[in-house]
Amino acid sequence: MILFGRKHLHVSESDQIIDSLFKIMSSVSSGSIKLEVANQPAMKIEINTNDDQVDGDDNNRTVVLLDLLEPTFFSVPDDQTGLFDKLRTAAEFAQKLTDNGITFSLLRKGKEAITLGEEARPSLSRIITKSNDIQVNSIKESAKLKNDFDDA
Amino acid sequence: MEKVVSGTNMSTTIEFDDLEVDIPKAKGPDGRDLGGATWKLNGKVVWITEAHRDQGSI
Repeated sequence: MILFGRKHLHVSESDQIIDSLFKIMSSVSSGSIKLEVANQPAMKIEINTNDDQVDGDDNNRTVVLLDLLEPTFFSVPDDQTGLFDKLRTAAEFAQKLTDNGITFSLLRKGKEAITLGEEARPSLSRIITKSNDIQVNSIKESAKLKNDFDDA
Repeated sequence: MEKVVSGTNMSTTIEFDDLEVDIPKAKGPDGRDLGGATWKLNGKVVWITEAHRDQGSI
């Protein structure tokens, strides 16, 4: 990601880090990864891939569930970017997810908060995010997540 | 997250459960075709950080 004179982190067309991340996500077809810190569950990632045949072409659709079981562990207290900057970065990231057939679902302690990418079906949240690739599943859980990330 | 890297007396575990990774076909250094594969990962990686008293300190 590159800071392009705008406040938010800009996801450029040929971003090697983002491209590598998508390649890794696309190459994992199923399974889960759990992270424990001090014997406490901190995060769980579940990945599933569906093979869809569309007009004779293979279309792999990858769904990544990222569950932050202990969200305060991932807090960034020194983060200077505001909510709208984060949303603009998220919109660019979500667009890339959709382009690569990936859905990324963010959960807080097992409850869905936000869905980005291919299978996002935004309704009212489109007014705020100005993106067709971001679905706010729960305003309550999303707000809690933001508070968790802001907490020192 | 920095506690995982720099914290002392920390235990961190990453557990892989039936993680299937598709390794794509590739060309070898002599132009030979290297077949693709599917790797299945199961198991844990655990790392523990411990603080030790420096022998030179009082």
